[in-house]
Amino acid sequence: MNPLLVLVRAHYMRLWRSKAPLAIALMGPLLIVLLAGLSFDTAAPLGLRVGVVVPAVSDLSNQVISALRDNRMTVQDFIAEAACSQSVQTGENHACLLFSSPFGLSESNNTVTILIDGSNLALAGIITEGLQQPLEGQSIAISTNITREMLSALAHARQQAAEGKAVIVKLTTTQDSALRILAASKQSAQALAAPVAVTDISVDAVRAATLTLRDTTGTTLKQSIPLLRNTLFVISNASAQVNASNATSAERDAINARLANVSSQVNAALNSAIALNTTLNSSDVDINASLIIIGDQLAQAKTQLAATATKSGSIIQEFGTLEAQLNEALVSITSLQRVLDTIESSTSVRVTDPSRISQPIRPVVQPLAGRSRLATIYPVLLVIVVTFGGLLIAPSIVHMERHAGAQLRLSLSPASSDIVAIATLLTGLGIVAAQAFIVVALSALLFPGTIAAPISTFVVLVLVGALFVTLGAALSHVINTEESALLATLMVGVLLLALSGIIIPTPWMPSLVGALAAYNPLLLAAGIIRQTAVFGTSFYAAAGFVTLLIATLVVLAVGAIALAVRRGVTLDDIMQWQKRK
Amino acid sequence: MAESQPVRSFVAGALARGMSKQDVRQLLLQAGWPKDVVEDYLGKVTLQEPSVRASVLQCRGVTKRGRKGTILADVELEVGKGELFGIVGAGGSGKSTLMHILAGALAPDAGDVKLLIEGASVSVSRDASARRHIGFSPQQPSLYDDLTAFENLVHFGALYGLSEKNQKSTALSLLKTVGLVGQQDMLVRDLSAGQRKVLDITCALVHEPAVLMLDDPATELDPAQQRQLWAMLGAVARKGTAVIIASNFLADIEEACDRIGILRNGRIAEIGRPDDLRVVYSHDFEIRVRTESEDYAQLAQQLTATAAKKIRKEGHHLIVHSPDPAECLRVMLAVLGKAKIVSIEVKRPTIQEVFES
Repeated sequence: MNPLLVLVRAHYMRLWRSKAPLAIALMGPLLIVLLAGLSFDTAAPLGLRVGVVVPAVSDLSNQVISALRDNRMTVQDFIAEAACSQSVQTGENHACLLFSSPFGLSESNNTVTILIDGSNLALAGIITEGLQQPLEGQSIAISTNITREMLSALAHARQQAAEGKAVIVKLTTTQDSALRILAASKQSAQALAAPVAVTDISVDAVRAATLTLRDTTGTTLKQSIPLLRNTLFVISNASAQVNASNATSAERDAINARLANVSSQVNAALNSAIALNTTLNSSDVDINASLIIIGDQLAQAKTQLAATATKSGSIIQEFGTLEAQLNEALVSITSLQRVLDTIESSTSVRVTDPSRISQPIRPVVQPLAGRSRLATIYPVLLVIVVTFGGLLIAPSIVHMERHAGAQLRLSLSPASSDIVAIATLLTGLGIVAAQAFIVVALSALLFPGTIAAPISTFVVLVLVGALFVTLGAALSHVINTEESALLATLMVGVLLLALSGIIIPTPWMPSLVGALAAYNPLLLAAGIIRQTAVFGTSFYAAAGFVTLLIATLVVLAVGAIALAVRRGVTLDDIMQWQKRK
Repeated sequence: MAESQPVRSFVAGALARGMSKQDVRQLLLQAGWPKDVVEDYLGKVTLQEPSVRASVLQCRGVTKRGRKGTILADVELEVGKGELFGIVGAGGSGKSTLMHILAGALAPDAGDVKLLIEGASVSVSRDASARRHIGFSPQQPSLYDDLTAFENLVHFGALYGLSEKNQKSTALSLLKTVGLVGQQDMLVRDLSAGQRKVLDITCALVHEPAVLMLDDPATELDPAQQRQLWAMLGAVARKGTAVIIASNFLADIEEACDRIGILRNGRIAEIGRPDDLRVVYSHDFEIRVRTESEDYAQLAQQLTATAAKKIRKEGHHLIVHSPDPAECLRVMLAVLGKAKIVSIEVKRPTIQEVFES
């Protein structure tokens, strides 16, 4: 037979004969599963005993007490607070509830004080849960009524705002028109007030300009008249030449007709020029007389313009003041309009059912699988069983072998240290496998449906157990006495438990500790078990976690074997064996 | 003293050639050397008598240091095939440590132990395969208390590679040899101390080792078991197994062993045949005297000046070692005079007593 199997066989024979450790190793998980299963099974009565002190009975207090009884709690009435409190101290009741008098939903009398022993603080949650059920309905009704009133008020305000907004719009339009008229008037006034160079307009300048115009025109006329006459002569000659030419009569008649037309036009121009020239020569006296009249009129206009400019300045100033007041009024109107717009836009809260506002989110806690508390906590419990089973069985086996009377003979046998170390691990693994089998089989038998995928769960549990057997063995090879090794493995177990999120939720931990906790094998294992056991996820779906678990297991196993080989048999061991006997 | 050098050379040479001390003494006396010179040098020369058999185990320069100093220093010994070799030493002399090193349970700090098996030399401390040829029974039985006698034998037989059939037949045969057939199904923890010791020795034999090492095997055994043990070891040795026995009590092994090594302060002080050792240590007589006054100062002085080789006070007695007890008695009577002698005893000491002195 292979030395490995020979050693493992001897381990089991010896464990079988030392009944206590084997019984603890195998019966322990059985007991835990039974107790935990029954404790967490919500089908079983909770058995909570609660004392109540109700100074003045009300409908609500009756509803609450009735709800507690519906939650399988035993309710005992007390008249005095002291007696009720005393019943908690003596353990007669788990908690004492003191109701306000009279118990209702108003702020002044809605208190229920729960007197509870600190060690049973977790029960407060269950009691509160029981209390909340009747209060929740009342609370929702009140909130709904209040919200309905609020919505009605809001609708009324919205209507008022809409009406006010129409007036405001009209007012704004009028205001705008006024401002526009005012702006035009102001512009006109400014135009009136514009500086006109009245003083620059003089009669002499008009006269000089007029005379210059007359002289220029006269000169032109004088030069034009001879030229026009000469033109007539030329046309006459041209007609004669046409008549004398070889042109056909029709051609001659056509040309002569055109020449006659030109001649008549030139004649007309000549006559006009002569007449204009005559007029110019006789108009000197009239121009002077006219210029005197114009000068008088200009002086009057100047006076009137100066008076107008003075009045325009005053009007412009008044226009400015008016414009400022109008603008200010417009800003106020705009602001008011914005407010009304906001009120009116509250129509965007398109709520018709007040209950949606009074309870916008209604959280409903519903377990994803199986029985409520059991399904959630059970995987962790399974992991804890194999974790501590593995951690505690490993030092027992290592030290059972190390301190066996036959240790020296074994160390001298052909079975090398590594074979002995592997045999130790295999024995521990066998026991943990038995533990895993017991818990899975019992769970499946006693709490059907609790574990969705028993085989995957069993495999993962064995892997987890192997990991902790190896960890325990590694520690035991470093530590000389069984007591110290057990203490060390226990400490490691507690540390892992503390970092598992079971005692302290991981989000509460400092970031570094939380990061470390993420790699806690117990946490990883619980995660895998939760997936496989509760949700029935395939073993392969959790392949990442399983691979990490196996890798850690291999590293630890190599370490444990190396430590065992390195330790070997020392002079101290021999001395201890001699002394022990 | 001019004669001393040739005597020393002769003695050393003779012993190196394998002659016993008794033969050397005889030769020297026949050659006419003065008896006191011969005795003096034979007494000073350390015996290192080699085995006349083919070596199966060689221990060379083995040194082991412990927390409180050196436990073994440069230990040299050789054991032949089929030889019964005894190692004797007082408590704390390093016997058990030496036995553990010879068995391969402990590695020496210096030196090496080699097995010479089938023409090959295998280091016990470095080559694990050597363990297959060694059977070791430590001072305290090394057994599984929660297995039966039979299961222990079968378990170790299996570890040494015996077939399943051989495991059981060998176990039964050995149990029959040592008289434990009736106890074969008893758990070891329910056996008597003597039975456990016998079973432990049996376990060391289960794989028919080439070298059997027993640390203090006679402890816990009753006289009948002891006789059975020596008979069994004789039979084992006759089959060719080298047997090394360590004991605090020379008397236990001086009859059975072919050679004996005396371990003193971590060193092999003597190795020789029991007869040789007895001769070396027994040429002095021991005189134990007790007076009423117990004032031995003057007597010790006179005895030292005349016939005594070694004097010590032990309890109420003065112990004198001398090759000439008659002269010692004469001096005692002369010195003590009227002082009342309570008791006086003259005897030849055992090797054990000399060794312990």
